[in-house]
Amino acid sequence: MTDYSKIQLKLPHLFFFTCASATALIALFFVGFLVYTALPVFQSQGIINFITGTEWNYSKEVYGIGTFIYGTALVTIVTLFIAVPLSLFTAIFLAEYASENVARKVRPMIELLVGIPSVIYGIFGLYVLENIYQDYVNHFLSSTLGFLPLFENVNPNTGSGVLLASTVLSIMILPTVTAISEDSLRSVSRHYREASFAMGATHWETIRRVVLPVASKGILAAITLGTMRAMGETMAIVMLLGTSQRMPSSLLETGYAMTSKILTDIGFYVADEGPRSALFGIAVVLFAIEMVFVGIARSLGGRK
Amino acid sequence: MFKKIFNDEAGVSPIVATLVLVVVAIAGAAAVGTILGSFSGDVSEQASAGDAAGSASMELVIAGSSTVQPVSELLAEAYMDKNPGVKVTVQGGGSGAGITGAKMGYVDIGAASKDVDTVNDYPELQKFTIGGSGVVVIVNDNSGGLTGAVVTAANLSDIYTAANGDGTAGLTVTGGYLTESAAATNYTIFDRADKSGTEETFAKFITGGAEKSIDAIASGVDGGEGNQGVLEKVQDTPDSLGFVDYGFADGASGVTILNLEHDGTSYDVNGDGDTIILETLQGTQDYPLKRPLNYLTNGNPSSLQKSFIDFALSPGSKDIYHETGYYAAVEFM
Repeated sequence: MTDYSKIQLKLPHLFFFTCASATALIALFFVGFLVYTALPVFQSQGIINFITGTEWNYSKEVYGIGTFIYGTALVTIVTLFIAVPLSLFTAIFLAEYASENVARKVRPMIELLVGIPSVIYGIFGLYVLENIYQDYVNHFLSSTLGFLPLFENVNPNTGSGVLLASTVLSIMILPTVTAISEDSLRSVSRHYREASFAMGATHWETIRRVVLPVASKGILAAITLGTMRAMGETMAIVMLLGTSQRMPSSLLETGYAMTSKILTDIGFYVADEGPRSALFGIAVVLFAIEMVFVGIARSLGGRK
Repeated sequence: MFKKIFNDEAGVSPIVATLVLVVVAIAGAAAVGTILGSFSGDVSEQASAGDAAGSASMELVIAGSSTVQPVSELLAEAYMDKNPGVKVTVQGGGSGAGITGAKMGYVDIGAASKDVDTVNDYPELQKFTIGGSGVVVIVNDNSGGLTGAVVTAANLSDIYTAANGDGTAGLTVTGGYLTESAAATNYTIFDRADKSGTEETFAKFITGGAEKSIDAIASGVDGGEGNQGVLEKVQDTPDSLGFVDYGFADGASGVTILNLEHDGTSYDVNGDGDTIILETLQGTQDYPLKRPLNYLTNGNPSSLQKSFIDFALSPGSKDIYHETGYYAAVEFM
């Protein structure tokens, strides 16, 4: 073999390797860019103050994102409360009960939800659900469960708030959680099921005692991925959660999420070093939280 | 070690792989350096907007204030009709984006709906005031009772401070003035969700010039995106109060413009907003919530930038401003 053809043989390898390195570098570049821009705010506020502080004031140059972290966390938790049971039961139905024919018809419907742009979800929430929540849902909740501060109808003139935002977010993460959960339910070995049936267990007992525990890692990974999508969502949240910087104690109150703060302020403050750095600081914190979840999802998702 | 990376006997030799890695790393580092450098504005002097527009491509990019955007769009349309060889692109992004864009040279003309200090803060920018307008306070008075109320900066400051807790404030009329009272009917109070020249003008007014943002005194109130967003929030929420540009409030259904009192003078903006704002811009009245609409260029404008700005300033363009509810600079300068 001549040297020339040797190089020719190596060329594709080289090409793909370069592409792969470039992709990896882009990721590194992003991290570097985020941290570089955000560094001044961590130096001036201190990381602990920045994360726990609740005052955000451009003229005093005090930046604390506690309120935004609280807003994001509350919306995410409520979203999970709504979405997880719904998508889990859907996944169980598709994997265990539905005939192949039915599953083939239902599954595309759920997957269709992935393709809808988030701004459309926002508009749907704002123009359709908001009025329903304002006139019916919030009234109903506050009149039946109003003795709990969680369901106090602080402002009866608006439907926006944590509950509305979470409802729409649940619809958004539904397909992700359902699809991955269904996958892990299906991948449970047939032998386990047959062993369970052989011992006289009913279908439901088999699902509850055998299939779900075996698939639990995959389901947890699905929930983690859904959580990440919910936390990172921006457009629909700005429209539905509102932009009031306070810690809502009721689910019917408005709040402010981390992503919303970046979106609403970056355009105006991009010229000023301090505020820009503070806004990038939010992004760094959000990124760090998401990284933790990526870690969790990866360790759970790894097949035994 | 490299064997491990490729996991394959026929893989790239370690030397070649190392070379590629070095090249990619250097290219990456150079890219990082350049982009970070331009982001911090170091290279902005080299790439002036004038050079960009002066080159063979007859293209003009205008970006910034969402208040100025509608008028820029109409101006661009009319300008392109008259000058078929030129392509004018208009983008939003907020006044801050307009200032940065012009400063760093990635837009040809930046737009800002607030006063820009080109002497101290941004010496590299040139400012052209193309028009003016005013901000007004609007209410959705569903339960009635606020009819004929007048507000002052102090009233508004009280109202926004009271709304900091849960986004609402009790409003009533005391001695003709709109005042905050915990016992009165609760009104939802709105501000702007995005940071804007409109909010800055309003915040400076109610805090006596101390603050540029409502967040400083009432971060707990909810907001709408853009003038249109706030208007829709107020229209959609029975019993609510907010502020928008007069151009958006004038003739809008379901909202009432509140009259304003400042320094002992009462301004009947509800009945006669057009005259008050125009005469304020001309200097014969003193409505406190006026603000200029500015175009910004980096250094002296190129011939193309100049031609567009001249077009924006020409008396023939006056109707375009009126269409969007603003006033052209020719009417008051």
